Amino acid sequence: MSGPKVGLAFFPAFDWAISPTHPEREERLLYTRDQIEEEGLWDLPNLVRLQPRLATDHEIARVHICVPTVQEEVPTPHRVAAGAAVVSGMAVLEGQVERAFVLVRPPGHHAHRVVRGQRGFCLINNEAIMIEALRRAALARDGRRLRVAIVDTDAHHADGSQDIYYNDPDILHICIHQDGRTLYPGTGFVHELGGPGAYGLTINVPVPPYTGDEGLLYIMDNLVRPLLDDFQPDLVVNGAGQDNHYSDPLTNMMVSAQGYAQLTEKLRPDIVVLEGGYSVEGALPYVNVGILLALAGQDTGRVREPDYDAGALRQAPQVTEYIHRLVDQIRQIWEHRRELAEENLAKLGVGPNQWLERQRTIYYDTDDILEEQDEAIRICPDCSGVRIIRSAAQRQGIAGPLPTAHIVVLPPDACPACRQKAEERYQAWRAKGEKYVYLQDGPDDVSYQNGDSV
Amino acid sequence: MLDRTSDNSRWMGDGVSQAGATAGSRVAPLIAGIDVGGTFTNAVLLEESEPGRVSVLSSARCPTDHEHLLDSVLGALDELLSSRVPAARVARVILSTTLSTNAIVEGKHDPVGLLAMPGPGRNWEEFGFGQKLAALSAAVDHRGRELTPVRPEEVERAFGRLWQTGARVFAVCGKFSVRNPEPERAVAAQLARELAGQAGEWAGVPVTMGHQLSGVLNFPRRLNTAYWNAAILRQQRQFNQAVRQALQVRGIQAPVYIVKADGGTMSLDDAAARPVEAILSGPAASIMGAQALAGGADSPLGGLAGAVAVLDIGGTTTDVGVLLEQKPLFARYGAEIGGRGTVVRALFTRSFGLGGDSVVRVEAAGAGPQAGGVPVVSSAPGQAAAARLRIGPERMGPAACLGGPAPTPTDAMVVLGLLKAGDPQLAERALHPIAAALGCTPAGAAEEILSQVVGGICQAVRSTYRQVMERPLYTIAQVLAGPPPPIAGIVGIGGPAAVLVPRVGARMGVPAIVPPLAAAANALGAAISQPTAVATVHVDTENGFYTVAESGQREQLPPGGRFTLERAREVACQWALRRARALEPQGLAPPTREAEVVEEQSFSVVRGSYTVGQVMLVRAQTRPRPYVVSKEGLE
Repeated sequence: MSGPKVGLAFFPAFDWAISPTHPEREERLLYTRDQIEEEGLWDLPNLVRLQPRLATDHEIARVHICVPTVQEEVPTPHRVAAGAAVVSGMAVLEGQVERAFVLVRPPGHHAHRVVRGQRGFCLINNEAIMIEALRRAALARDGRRLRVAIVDTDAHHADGSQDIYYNDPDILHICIHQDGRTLYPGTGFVHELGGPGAYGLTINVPVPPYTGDEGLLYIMDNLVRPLLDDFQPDLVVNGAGQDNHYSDPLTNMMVSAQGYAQLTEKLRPDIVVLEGGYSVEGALPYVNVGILLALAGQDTGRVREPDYDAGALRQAPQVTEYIHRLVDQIRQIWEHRRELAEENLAKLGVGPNQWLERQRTIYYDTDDILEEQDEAIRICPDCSGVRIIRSAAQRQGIAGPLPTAHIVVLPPDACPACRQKAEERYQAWRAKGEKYVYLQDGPDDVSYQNGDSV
Repeated sequence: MLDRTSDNSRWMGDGVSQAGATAGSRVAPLIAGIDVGGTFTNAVLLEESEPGRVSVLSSARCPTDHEHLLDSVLGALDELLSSRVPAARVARVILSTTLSTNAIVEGKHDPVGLLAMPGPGRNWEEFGFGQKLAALSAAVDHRGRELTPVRPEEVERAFGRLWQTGARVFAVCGKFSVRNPEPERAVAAQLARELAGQAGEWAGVPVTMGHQLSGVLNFPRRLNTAYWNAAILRQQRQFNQAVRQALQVRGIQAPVYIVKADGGTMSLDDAAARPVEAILSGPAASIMGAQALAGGADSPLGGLAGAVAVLDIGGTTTDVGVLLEQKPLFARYGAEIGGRGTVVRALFTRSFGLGGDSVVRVEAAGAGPQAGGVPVVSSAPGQAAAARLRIGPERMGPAACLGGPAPTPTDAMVVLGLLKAGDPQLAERALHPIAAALGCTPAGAAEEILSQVVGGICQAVRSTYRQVMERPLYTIAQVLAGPPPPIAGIVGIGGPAAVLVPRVGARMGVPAIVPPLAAAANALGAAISQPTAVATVHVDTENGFYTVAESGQREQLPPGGRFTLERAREVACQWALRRARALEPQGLAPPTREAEVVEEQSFSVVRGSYTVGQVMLVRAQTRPRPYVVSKEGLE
């Protein structure tokens, strides 16, 4: 019963819930705990328990602009979940284990770079906080720029992870999810391909409702594996939402525990991070055991839900056909992503050293906050480009407006010209007496919130 | 939750004033404790001068006869009772034996057929039972709901096949059977009928059911435990019968108890149903004995506050256990034996192949120094650092000074004048090759050997402590609680402890003691062991019942009113106490006993947006009041 050494960070947060009957509640991983214990998985000779710790302010601020501050915005439960991810990622990077499963709550993949509150049950992005910690550690250790592929298999679009890595040339973000026209958060379409510094490295695969095991595994074989073979990442991170399950109360998918186990066997991720999934009794115990057994190289053939009915879960032919066309389309885009990047800029009428602007509205459903963002990215021939963000927000209802934040994001690969732009803008805001001013200095690995370094 | 009042009133009902009770105002009952160890059988006779207070009347020691364990037991008992003690005064006999451990380790047990109800999940074909396991399709889920019912014709076929392949004793075990024992009961009842139809000695052997062995979730371990239990059940029953007869012949009416791996005791009747609980009772008895001998406010270890390592250093091995705030720590899931993990509740101990008789060898250059299978860092730099000594993990016989074949740590102690044993010249001669390899005198070699043994034991203590303190962190409160405290002290027992343990303490910078009577600590530990019981209560308010896993009870929740966590705690403690009380010895002071909650969780079950019920899990265990051992006359 040997297999690759797998680290499991299991943090069910048995003392935390968004609210007593919210899907993200204490009970969510209870039955998973029962199943893991009853299956005796902790006794597997190649399974190692990884202990969570609190993510630090610095680790969080490296990824997020929390308004007003990290200290005020991020409570303990979220820090434990993010810290567990960091511990697990480091265990893989340092070779203590070959693979890791971060089985924690609360989840994180709807958390954008700017955090004004909770959205989609998420506050901070566990995966991004982990990946940034690993990139820093690899850089410090042997000067290596880590290339990471995120493959998000939650049924919801991982809009937060996409936002954080939208313009990052070292991260490939592939997100497979139920089509945004039919499900929260309503984004994640094929044409969302990334910013000017990393065009084509954001890949969205919006699948139709009632996609089953067959469709998901087809995408693994015919899209994800070829793209990974092409991109050659140092690490593959799987954002493993379990809400593609046929019994999930929030989605309309038809994937089974067997499907998840086989997905994991095909993807061979280095690190799996739990995201959503709210069929806490009918799906999670079986899906989690399936993923864990697959990671540990154990037989998954007998992992099956009690109510599994292969006939009822057969994917409709038109869904299969749609997915085949979708995969072909995305592979074409991948092949031609560099030409498409140029065409796209030409179409928008911006060129080198100019600013590409966009306006966005981001709704924080869990906290009922509406954010208006104005963003400008410098199209830089020497780096992925400095980003300037203005974030205005208001709590819906009686509470009224929240402070407006002024943000400069200097990416880790920033060139001197972009650094100069970043510092000019930051100092200008400070001189103007703006109260909520933020700078993420990627190259120096330091963040400033309102003048204080974090 | 305390139950002191009722216990005390029962004791005082005997007409004895508790405060004034002495040996003079009544006939103080005697307790005989016997530990049948791998090498020696130790025995002590205690007198309970007042409730909860004992003194040692006599002790005895004889070599263990592995072929005739009962002879070892009776030999030690006869020696204890030979002098002036009327057998009728013996109120309790407690045994810790290697019977079940040996039967398993040496493979001398009955052929088992295992009927499993594995349900969906891990592939049970990988559990290593081969043809000895037959899988049934019956299954329940994590909340005990029936997924597939038991099919009698399937059970019949499985029984027939297992019998054909040679199985003669049977066990049945289902996944999540601790949440719903009914399928196991149905299968066991049918098996009993099938067995009754078979002629001969096997007809009356009970079928082992997994849920009776533990309330802990761990199906593969429960399978293993059920398997071992069935395997040794018949031998234990034969042993019990022989013990009863032998005691009757000697005029001893006292009840006999068997030490369990958790340091508690069980009656012979319980041992006849669950003999597997007696595995590894030796290390447990040692820890209990060391705790009793080293405890007390006057102890140099300050009443054993904080984390204290208990070392039982024997000829072949050093066993390491841990006390935290005077309480022994338990193995997370259970004891391991015969290459299989079990759910047998057990005091946490780890055994290292490092003892007084461990072989000392000079290793080829390049290998790091090792002791007891663990690499050690030599304390002496320079010349000694080049030494490539390997100590243990095996024992080839007695020490060279006693005519053994190879140099040992015992010989090193003899050469240094720290120990008087055998022939010092033999010891010195045995160390010559080592001294030559190290380029030093025999005394220098002896110092280096001792230093490496001490280093190995320190490593063993540290790694054991790290392992036992590794606990799941499932709540924010647990994550915030921070790391465990450092080791605050060491208690050593066993032959070589007097020489080695003070050095281990000095090396680790903590106080270390070797209490008096350390050589018979295991027998003392057996003598003062008391019945313990656990109850795991699983409440499901949506489905309207609770189960007590250990006894297989499934009770309806009382109608009306909310069944709170508070109620669940009460129920669990009551069940634990009730189970312990059923084991209570007659004629002795009932030990002040309380039950405490050791694990609890409570969750709302939500459907849609509505809370439809609560799932609660409360595990309670009884904690006997420890005996105070009078130190007078121990030296």
